[in-house]
Amino acid sequence: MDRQKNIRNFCIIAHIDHGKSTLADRLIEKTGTLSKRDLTEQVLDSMDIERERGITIKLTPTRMFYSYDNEEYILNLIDTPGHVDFTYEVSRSLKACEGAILVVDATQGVQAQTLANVYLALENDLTIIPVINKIDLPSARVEEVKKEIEEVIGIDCSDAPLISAKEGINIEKVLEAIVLKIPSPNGKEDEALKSLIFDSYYDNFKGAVSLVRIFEGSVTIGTKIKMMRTGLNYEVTEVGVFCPSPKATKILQAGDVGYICASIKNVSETKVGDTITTLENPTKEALSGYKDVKPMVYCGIFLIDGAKYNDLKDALEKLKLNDDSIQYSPEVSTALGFGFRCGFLGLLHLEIITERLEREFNLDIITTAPSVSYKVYKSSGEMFEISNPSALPPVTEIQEIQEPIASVSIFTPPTYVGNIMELCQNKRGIYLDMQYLDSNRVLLKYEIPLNEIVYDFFDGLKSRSKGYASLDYEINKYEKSDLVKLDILLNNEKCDALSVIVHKSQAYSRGKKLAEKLKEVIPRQLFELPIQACIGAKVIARETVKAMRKDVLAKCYGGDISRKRKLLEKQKEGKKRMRQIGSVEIPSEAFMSILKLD
Amino acid sequence: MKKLSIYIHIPFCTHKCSYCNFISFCNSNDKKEDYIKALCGEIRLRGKEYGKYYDITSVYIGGGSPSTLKEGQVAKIMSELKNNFRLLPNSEISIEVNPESVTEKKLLEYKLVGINRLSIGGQTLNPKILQLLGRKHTIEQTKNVIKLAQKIGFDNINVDMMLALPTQKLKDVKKMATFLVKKNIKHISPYSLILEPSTPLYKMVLNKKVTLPSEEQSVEMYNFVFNYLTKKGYSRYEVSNFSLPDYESLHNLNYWNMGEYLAFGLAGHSYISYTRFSNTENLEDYINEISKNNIPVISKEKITISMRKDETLMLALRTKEGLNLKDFDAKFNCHLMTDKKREIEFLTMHNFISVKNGFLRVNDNAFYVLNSIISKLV
Repeated sequence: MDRQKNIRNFCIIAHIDHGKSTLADRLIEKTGTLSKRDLTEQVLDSMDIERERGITIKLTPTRMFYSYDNEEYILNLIDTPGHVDFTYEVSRSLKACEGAILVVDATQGVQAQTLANVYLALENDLTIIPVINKIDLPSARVEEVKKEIEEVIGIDCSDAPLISAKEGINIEKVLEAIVLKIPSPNGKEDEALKSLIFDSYYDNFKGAVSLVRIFEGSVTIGTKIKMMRTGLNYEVTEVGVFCPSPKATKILQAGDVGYICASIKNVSETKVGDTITTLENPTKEALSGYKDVKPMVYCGIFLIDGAKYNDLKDALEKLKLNDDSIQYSPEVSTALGFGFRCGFLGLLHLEIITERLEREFNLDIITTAPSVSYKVYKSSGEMFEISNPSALPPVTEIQEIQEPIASVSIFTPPTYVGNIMELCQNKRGIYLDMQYLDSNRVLLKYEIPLNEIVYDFFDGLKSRSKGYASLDYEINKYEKSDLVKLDILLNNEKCDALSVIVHKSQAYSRGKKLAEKLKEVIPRQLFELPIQACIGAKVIARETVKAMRKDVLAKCYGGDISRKRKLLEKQKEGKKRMRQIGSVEIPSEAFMSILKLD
Repeated sequence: MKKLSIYIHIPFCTHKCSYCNFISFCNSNDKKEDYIKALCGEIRLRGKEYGKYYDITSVYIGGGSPSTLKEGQVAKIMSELKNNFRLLPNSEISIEVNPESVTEKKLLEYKLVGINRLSIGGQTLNPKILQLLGRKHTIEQTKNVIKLAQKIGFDNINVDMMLALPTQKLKDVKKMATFLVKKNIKHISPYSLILEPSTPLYKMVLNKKVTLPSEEQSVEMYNFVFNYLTKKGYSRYEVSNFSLPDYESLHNLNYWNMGEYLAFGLAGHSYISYTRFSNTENLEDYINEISKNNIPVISKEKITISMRKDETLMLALRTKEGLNLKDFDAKFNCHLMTDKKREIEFLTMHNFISVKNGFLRVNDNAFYVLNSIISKLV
C-alpha cells in the first residue's frame, strides 16, 4: 500500500482547443521528464494530423516524477482522445485514472465536450480539478467562467488554478493540486492480476502493445496472461512504462500505468476495455464497462488511378494494424471501379483516415458520400444491416427500414438559438429540452437522425452560429423511418457511386440540388448529357449538360506545335482523373464536390 | 535532297493590337537596321550549317508586320537567303502585309525579289470592330492593297478574316466573305479570336466592356463561311485554311505534315532532325549574340517518337485529307484502329469521324470540336 501512496493517475479533459495538449507539454517540461529542447510542441500528439488539427487520436501515457514537500511522487498522465467520435475510448482512459484535470478556456467557457467529458469522468468516480486556462489573453473572463463551471457543472472553483499553459503561468499550482487532491490508487498487490487495456498500438518488433492500468496484482516477464473478452492467452515478453518513450521495467504492480507486450499479432486481440488477468489464477470478475466498438459512419473509398488498388489495400491494412475500429471490405462500383467500403467511428475519424491515406500513403482517393448503417427488415421477416446505398433491396421487398438516432447536445450563445432550432427542425430533429445555463450560454437537446448529422449538419451549425456553437452526440437507438434510395442517372445509366439514402420528405430537394451541382461540375461532352435524379423509376429532377459546340478554330503555326502537344499531354494526364461511365467522362472531383451541396 | 521550309520573323509593328501576345516592338525604326543585320547574320550561320544539305521549298516572312520594314530591307533579307540556301525554282515565298503599312513601292520590291504570295491581315470590314481590335487600318486601305497587289501581278493572295470577334454579327462575316470571293482572293484564312490573358482585349472582356459572341453564334459564323466558300469552289484543306484548287499553302502544309523547318529571327521556333529549338525573345540579346557569331537558342527539345506520334495525329486530323493509317501504323509501330477501337467506334457512331480508303478524317460538321476528338484518340 505504501508504494501506491505516492502514485497519482490522472488525465486532462477539455473541449477542443482549450489547451489540453499545451498543458500536458508544460507538465512534462516542469517535472523535468523531458527538457525543453527535446520537447517538440505538444509531445503527446505525435501524428502530423493530430498536431495540425489540435486533436489527439492515439494515446500516449507519460510517467513523470515530481517532488513535493520532500516526497517523490509518480504522476501518470493518461491522455484522452479529443473528439466526440471517440467517446468510448475516452471513457476507458478515464477509467484508468483516479482524477481528471478539467481545462476550461477563460475566453470561451464551458463547451459541449467539456460537459460530455465531465459526465464521463463523474460516471467513473474521478476527482475533478478545474483549471482555468488562457488567463493571459485580454478577452479572458476568469470570474464569469468560474461561475459558469460552478453553475453548469456544479464543481467548486474557489481554488481552481488560474493558468496560462502557453506562457507557463502557474503550472506549479496544477502539479500541487494533482498531488494534494487526487487520491492515490489502492488496489491489492497480492490479489490475482486485474488490469485494464485502455489503448493499444502495433509495434513492428514487439507486436500489439497493450497500454494498461493495473488494478490488482502484478505482471512480469513470463507471466501467462489471458484476455477475458477474447479468451486468448499469451506469455508476457516485456512490461514497462512510458517516460514518455517506452522503457522496460521488471514488473508492473497494482496502481501502475504501463505497457505489456506478449507477442500478440494483431491489435484486434488487444481490445480497448478488455481485462487482462493471469491464465492460472484468474481474477473472478472482469472490469465493467467493456463495449464492442462499432463503426457508425461508412463510405466507399476508391482511387483516382485504379491501378493502385493494391496500394490502397496495403495502406488500409497498415492503418488497421493500429486502429482496430476501422472496418473495410472490398467493393466494386460500376462507376468507380475497385475500392473498399469502409466503416468509421464518426465523421472526424473518417476524415482523419482519408487524410492519412492521401498524405502518408500518397494515394489520390475518391470518397463517396458518408452513409450510416440502416436496419432493413424484409417482407420475409429477414433483417440485415446495410451501409451502402446501392445494397438496398427493391422497395417491394422491404417492409421497414430503421435508422440510427443520435441524442444531440448543442451549446450556443442565446443569439443563435433561433437559427439552430431551425436547422435542427430542417434536419428532422425532435426537440427535447432547452436550458439557459447563464446569460452567455444555452444548452439545446435534440434527437436527430445520424443520417442528417453526417450529411452537412456540422457545416450548417458552424455557419448558423458563426462558429460559436459546439456539439456533442451519442447514438442511442434505431427508429423506423420513411427512407428512400435516390439514384443518379447519367446519360440514362445509373451511377451507383452517387446513390444516397434520404428521407422521403427531402428526396425532391436533394435530388434537385444533386442534379444542379453535377451540371456545374461535369464538363461539356461531345453530345448532350441528361442528368436525372430518380426514386425507383420515377424521375424527380432533371438537368442537361449541353453538347460541346466549339473547342478549336484557331490557326496552328510552326511555333505552336509544341505548345499544342503539351496541352494535349496535359489533357491526357487529366484523363486519368476522369471516370468513364458509359460514354460519359466525369472528373473525379465531381464525386467529391457533391458531398458539399450548400 | 532533303526538303526544308524557312520562316523569318519580323518583330516590328506600327502599334500593338489589343488581342496580340506575340513578340513585337513598335516605334523602333532605329532598331530595324540592327535587327536586319543580325537576321542576315543568322541566315549566314545557319546557311553554313544546313545550306548544302537541303532544298528550300517555301519561305514565309511573318511577324509582327513585315510590311513595316523600310524599302529595301526585305530585298536585303531575300538576297541573303538566296546566297546561303538553295531555293527551288517553284518554291512558295510568302510575306505578311498589313494594309496600313504596305505601299505600292514595297509591293513592287516584293515582286522583284521573287516573293510570290501575299498574306493580307484584313480581318473584317467592320470599322468599329477593327477599332476594338486596335487595328489601325481602314476599310479603304484593305480594299486598296488588294487592288494594288493584283494590279502588280500577285495572283496567290491570302486574306485573314477573324471570327468570334467582340460585337461581331453574322452579317459582318457575310460581308467579308462575299467581298473576298468577289475580289477573286485565292486563299482565305478564317480563324477565331483566341483571347489571350495579359492582352488589353482580355481585360476588356473580363470587365464586361465588350462582349464576345456565344459559342453557338461563333459556330454559326464558321458554318456560314464553310458553306459559302465551299459553294464558291473553295476547299477547306485545314481547320482555318480555305483555298481555290492548287492554291494551298505549301508552307502551312509542311507544318501539318511534320516536315522540317528552320526559323530565323527573334523567338523563331525551328524543327529539324527531330529537335525543336527556339531563339531568344530578347531583342538586344539577339542582336548582340549574332554579332559575336552565336545563335542565341534558349530552348531545345528532343521530340521523342511518342511525342511525334501525338503530333502527327494532332496535325493530320486538322487537314482535309486526314490521317494516313497505313503510314501512321508503320511509322509508330502500332495499329490505331485496334488500339483505339472503342473510341473510334464511338466517334464514328456519332458521326464525328469517318474511316475511308485508309484515311481517318474528321467530318466536316465536327471540325468545331476537333480538340475533343483528338484528345480521345491520343
